[in-house]
Amino acid sequence: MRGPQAGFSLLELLIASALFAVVALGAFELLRNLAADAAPLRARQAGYAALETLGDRLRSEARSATAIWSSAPAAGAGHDDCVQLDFFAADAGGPRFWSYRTFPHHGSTDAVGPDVLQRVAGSGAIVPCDPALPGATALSGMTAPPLFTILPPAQLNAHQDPYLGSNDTPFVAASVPPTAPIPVGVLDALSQPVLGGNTIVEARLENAAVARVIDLLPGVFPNGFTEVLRYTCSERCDVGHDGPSAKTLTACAMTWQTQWSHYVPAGVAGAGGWFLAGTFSFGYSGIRADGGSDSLQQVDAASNWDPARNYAAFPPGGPAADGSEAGSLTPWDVRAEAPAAWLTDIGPYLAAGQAAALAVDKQRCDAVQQAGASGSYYANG
Amino acid sequence: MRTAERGFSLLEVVVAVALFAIASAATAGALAAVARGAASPSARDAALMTAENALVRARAAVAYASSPDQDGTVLLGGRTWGLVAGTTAYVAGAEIRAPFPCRAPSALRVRMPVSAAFDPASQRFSVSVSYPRDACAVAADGTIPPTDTLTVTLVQTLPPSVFPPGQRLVRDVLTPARM
Repeated sequence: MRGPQAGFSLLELLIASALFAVVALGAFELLRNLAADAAPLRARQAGYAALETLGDRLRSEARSATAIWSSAPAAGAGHDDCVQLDFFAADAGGPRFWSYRTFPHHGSTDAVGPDVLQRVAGSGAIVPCDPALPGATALSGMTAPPLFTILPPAQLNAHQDPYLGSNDTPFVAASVPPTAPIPVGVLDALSQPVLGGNTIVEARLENAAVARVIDLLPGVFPNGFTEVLRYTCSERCDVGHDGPSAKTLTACAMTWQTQWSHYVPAGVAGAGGWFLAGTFSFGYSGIRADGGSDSLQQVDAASNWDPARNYAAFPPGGPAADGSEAGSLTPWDVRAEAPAAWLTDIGPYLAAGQAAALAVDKQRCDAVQQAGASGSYYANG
Repeated sequence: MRTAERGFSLLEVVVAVALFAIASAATAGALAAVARGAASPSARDAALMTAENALVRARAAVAYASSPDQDGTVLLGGRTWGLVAGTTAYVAGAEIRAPFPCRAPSALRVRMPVSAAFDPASQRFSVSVSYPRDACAVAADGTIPPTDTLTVTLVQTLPPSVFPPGQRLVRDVLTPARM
């Protein structure tokens, strides 16, 4: 044993030094690895951020664009052949063109390197693959030329994932009809009409850090397109289809007309009640844009007598207070009750099929009346 | 007991070094975990990109109505909305390059389960994309372990359709009717 004043023995120092050396070696190795990883990690993060930023920018620009197309979807063999994606928009400031392009065949001595994606903008159409046009670097360090693919909506259902080769758009119905893009009224640099529409341009971009596939759709419909209100019909929706021309119907009123009614006292057949029949009429009207008027009358029969079943469901009640057996139904007075309230009252006793049809027609009448002229309701032609 | 003049015993030194080693190992582990987590934003952004692409495609599918050269019945019956109603499931691919510190020799391809849902009544389209919490945990075939799955969801109410110029104006009311 070591006395109170003794120092470490040589053996103790050796063991302690060895332990320290082991720990120090481990720490050094860890730090060395971290330092070695830091530089590529920073480069990767910078490349990653650059491409993500470009992706956000492309999506933002697509939302303000009227047309997106590729004037040079693939570079040929020429030195200055490029891959170019083009945008067009028009607003209060006038027409705007801008493009993204890369020159895959350029060398290190060219002003624009082969791995650089440039953005070129102007008020006139951008000439494809013109290296003299000045541009700003949008992305550098690309490891492959960008790939721009056109995706018409009619082909979306069959589209395949670029990485897996499996269908990646099954939520789009196969019945989407082809709708050709239309000229937006300007010409591109090759004097071809610029086409707008719902065609997607799929842009595939990659650098050393990340690869991205970005779908771009013009967010602005070309002028002259007509908005269509939402489809909600589950069956025929051709209001105003009684004539060759479409009608403008902006108002609707509902009326009731009793045709006959007869009180049958209680007796052999059981409890007494009213046989009744009449019509609910839905009168549509409206003023066309040319000043003319349109109208349409929809008449639905209503009765508690069901001939198919030879049966009448008697509403509760009895003879009228004045003893009359026509046109009155206690406790409901048909002559005094508003048609809508009367339909609600008599609804449960109507013959098979009548209640559902009347409910639908009343709902439609209410919708037209509610929309009114301000709602610009137009009948389906 | 050690007096004020005594040095550390060998046992004390060994214990101290051991404690230091344990603390160092824990710190290194934490650093490694942080570094591994650096791959997650890439996976999340890839999932977000996939979801955004799905929204773009959904919008393209309903953006333009079919040519209305038929009457309303045929138009509505033949087209409806261009999107499959209800929920549709599929798998989307994404590429994550050199996820640190996995040191994968090449890009990692991830199979991301996607669930797209469309409600025709509200024209509401939603898409949920699953992505790995830790890209290093993804299997060789790109499958994400169930215990390591996160999800990003985007929802959009699709705008009304349009018709190309020159076509008849067709507007619809809220409810079906027979006239």
